[in-house]
Amino acid sequence: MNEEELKSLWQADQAAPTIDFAKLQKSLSVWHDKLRRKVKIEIWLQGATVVLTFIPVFFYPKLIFFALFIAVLGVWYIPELRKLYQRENDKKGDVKNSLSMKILTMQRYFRRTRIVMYVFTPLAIPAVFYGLGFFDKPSATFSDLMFSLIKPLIIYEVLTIIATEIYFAILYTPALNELKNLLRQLDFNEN
Amino acid sequence: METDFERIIKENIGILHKLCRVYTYNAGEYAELFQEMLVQIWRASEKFRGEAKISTFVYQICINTALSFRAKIGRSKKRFESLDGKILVQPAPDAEKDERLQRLYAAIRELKPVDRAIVSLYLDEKSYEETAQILGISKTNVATRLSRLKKQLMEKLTV
Repeated sequence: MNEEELKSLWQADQAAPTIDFAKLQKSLSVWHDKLRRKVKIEIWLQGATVVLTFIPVFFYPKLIFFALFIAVLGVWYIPELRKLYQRENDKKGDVKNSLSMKILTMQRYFRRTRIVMYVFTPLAIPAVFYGLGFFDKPSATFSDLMFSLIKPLIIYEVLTIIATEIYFAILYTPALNELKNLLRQLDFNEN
Repeated sequence: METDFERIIKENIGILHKLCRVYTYNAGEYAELFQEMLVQIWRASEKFRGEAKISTFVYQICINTALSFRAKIGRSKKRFESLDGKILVQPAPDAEKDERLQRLYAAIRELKPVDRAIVSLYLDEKSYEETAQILGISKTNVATRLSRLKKQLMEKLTV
């Protein structure tokens, strides 16, 4: 076969499937409504979680630090998680730009998750203890109590790092590597 | 009354069909990818303001979707059943009758995912400029790669 024959063969393939557009439009509308409802519920839940977290502060004022941590988590991290699962592609753009954006979204999600798990969460634990009055014992100084938390915090940190990295490796790293591979294929030969 | 979305699909259904043939290996995957392309085009068509040719717009979305599909991005069963769990399209009529066409698709499927897109655009007689615009690479890159890919394809088809 020569090139012209290949093109003719390709262009002659008219065997596309038949679509029931009425059914398709209905399904798309139903799906879109479900998605909008889901997003609304998520936003309400987020807001409610943040508000509810501040209620115990009225009874235990020192829980304010823990409450602030939850608020930051809600505002800073949950939307990032949602972005990862968004059916994007409603962004206009060439294939290379789209791949780059997907990679950036995943990397941003990894970065934020690591900051939450490795930095914020270990700080949240002493904040809970502090909030519940464990540091108020007259017999021990603040520094004694902090030191007593160091060993469990180190163990917690190590386990968290291992669990988080395994989680990424199983769920996301293969897809990220494939995206980077596709981008490399596009960039091959680019000056 | 026909909507913009319906018009876009009807005029460009060949693009979806061929890209699905090129990026999938069985009828189940074909239907899954075809459905996802429809969803992506539907979402994007609301924001399309004629900044590019419609075929360019459709190609960009379909290639993006196909590449994500192969990279298994977010491919959970739940997601692809989101459109009421049924396949919306009637299966393509038996397109396997033409053995030469079968061999052509099989040969293209052996190429790397990005190269499949370049070859598909070439066979649809898209210019280097348009191919470069769709993929986001330079015209020179398109030309260099196409020259190599044409040779590869011919070798596969003459074996």
